[in-house]
Amino acid sequence: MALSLSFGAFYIPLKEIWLNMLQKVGLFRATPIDELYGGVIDLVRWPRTLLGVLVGAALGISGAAIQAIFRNPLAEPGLIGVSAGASLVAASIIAFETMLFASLGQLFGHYLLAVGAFAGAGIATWMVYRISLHDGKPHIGTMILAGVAINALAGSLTGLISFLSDEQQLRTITFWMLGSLGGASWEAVWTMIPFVLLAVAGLPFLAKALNAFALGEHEASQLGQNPQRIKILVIILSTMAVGAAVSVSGIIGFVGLLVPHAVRMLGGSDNRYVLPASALLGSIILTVADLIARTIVIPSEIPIGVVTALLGTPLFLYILIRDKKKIIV
Amino acid sequence: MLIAENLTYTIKKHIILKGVNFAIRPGEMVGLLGANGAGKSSLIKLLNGEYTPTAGLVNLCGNNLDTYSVVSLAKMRATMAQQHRVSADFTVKEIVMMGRYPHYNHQPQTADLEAVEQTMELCGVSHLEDRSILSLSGGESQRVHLARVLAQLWKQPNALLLLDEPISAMDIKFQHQTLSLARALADHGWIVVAVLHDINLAAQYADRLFLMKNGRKLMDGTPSEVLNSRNIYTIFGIDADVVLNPTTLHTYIVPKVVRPLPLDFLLKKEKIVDNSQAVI
Repeated sequence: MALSLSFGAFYIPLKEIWLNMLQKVGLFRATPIDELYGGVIDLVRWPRTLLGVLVGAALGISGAAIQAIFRNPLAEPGLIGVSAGASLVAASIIAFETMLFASLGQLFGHYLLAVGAFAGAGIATWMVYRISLHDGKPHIGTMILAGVAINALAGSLTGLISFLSDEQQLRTITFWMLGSLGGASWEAVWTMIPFVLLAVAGLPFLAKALNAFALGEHEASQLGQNPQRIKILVIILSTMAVGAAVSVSGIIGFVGLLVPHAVRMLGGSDNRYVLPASALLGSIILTVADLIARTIVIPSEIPIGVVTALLGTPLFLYILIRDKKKIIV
Repeated sequence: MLIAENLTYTIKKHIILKGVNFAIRPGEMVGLLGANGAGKSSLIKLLNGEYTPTAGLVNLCGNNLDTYSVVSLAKMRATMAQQHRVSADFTVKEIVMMGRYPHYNHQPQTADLEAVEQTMELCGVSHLEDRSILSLSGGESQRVHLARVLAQLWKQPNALLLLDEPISAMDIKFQHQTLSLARALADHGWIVVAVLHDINLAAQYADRLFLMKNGRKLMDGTPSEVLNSRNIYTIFGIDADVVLNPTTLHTYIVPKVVRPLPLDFLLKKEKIVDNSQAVI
């Protein structure tokens, strides 16, 4: 249902793009050549839109799950080091590709950046997770602090690399960090699908357990849940999904943090609804944001991270002000 | 049967609970009394499986506590904790429904919906069902959590109900209503263990009282057996008369007026010290 709806959400804009393109190309207005459109749509539009749907779903659902296990409305996937780790590796690759990563570059070719960012996300999260272990169990308070520390460390190293890089590299790094779906290809979509599907299909099974987490970890275990297993599962699933998302699209802010909030404000806190709805709303917002990002300054593109923030924040503030009485954070 | 044998719990050589032994039959309601820090809450947490005993064991219905799976244990024992901090904006009904989580997989069944409805009615929170849990007063939210805990064990034949200060925030009507409900559930065949601070309420509703001090269970018996001036002085360090309530025929304690803190004296003493320093 979630998928079909998100297709619906993007299908109308797609038609508009089609018409837009028709008019822009001009020549073909009278005699539509299906081959050309077909080509564009097959090779550019479809992967890009699908990628937007996948990335949005990954960010939205992971954000919701992470907020539930951290029992904190300010939590987001970036908190456990995913984005910072990915940025650090991505920045290093951009800056030092020719020097250090030449052989790796031959191995992975085009995908070096994506593979590296995914690895960076995984390593950073693993470090945060290891630091947070108390007697073999992840401790949430320590995890937040460790996440902040690892984020700061990775952030400063990324800063150092930006400082060392030249103008062109700096621009690339900045754009990567602001996020873009410009790198979309069928390969990227196929790579994303298993990671995102695992999260979107797996996390809703934990919805009841995540609801019980709102009462506290001990209460959750009194209610027959296993808090340690839930925490580990959520961290693994969301790191994989967000890591994959970040590796193909760079860092797209706002979605992971605010989408679950918007969803809760609209329809309550039951995670059986919040998790799938966050995936859905994440997909919709990202698809619309990408549409705006690539059409508003044709033929150039503005970074999608800028759009999600510009578009999402006023919407979020509107819901916030409307529902002010109900909200207690 | 709930049996504790030589139950001991230490944290880094700091003894929290030492050598606690008892057996509680189904149908009994036990009140845990004791000064702050006597180990009452720790005992509750050992009985519900949250803490693992350093030594000794807990046996519930013939099996050691650690042989139960989390889910099967959740179906036969429930704990009402001292404090509840709910981190998300759930409605009252959703919170009470969480008590049924061990019983259903995806969709609540008729039995679950009934349990939620009936326990909300019993705890007097039916009219709050669509309110946010975060908007309730302390006593109201305590009643909601009580309803959740009861829903968890609803219609189980022999259940263990552990209550850690269940009535601390409730008004006098709901205090009595809650304890008589607990009493009725014990009569129904449940084992009820409740940490209480009001000795008179405990004496009125419990079959048996455990008086605890410094991690040990010092006295164990019916209210009329264990409640006497000497025991109360030993446990709480206050002087009290113990009488029979002429109306209810329950043991009743009347604390003697405790001298107020000698604030004036302390202040004067400070002045005297000042003077003496001045003289020197």
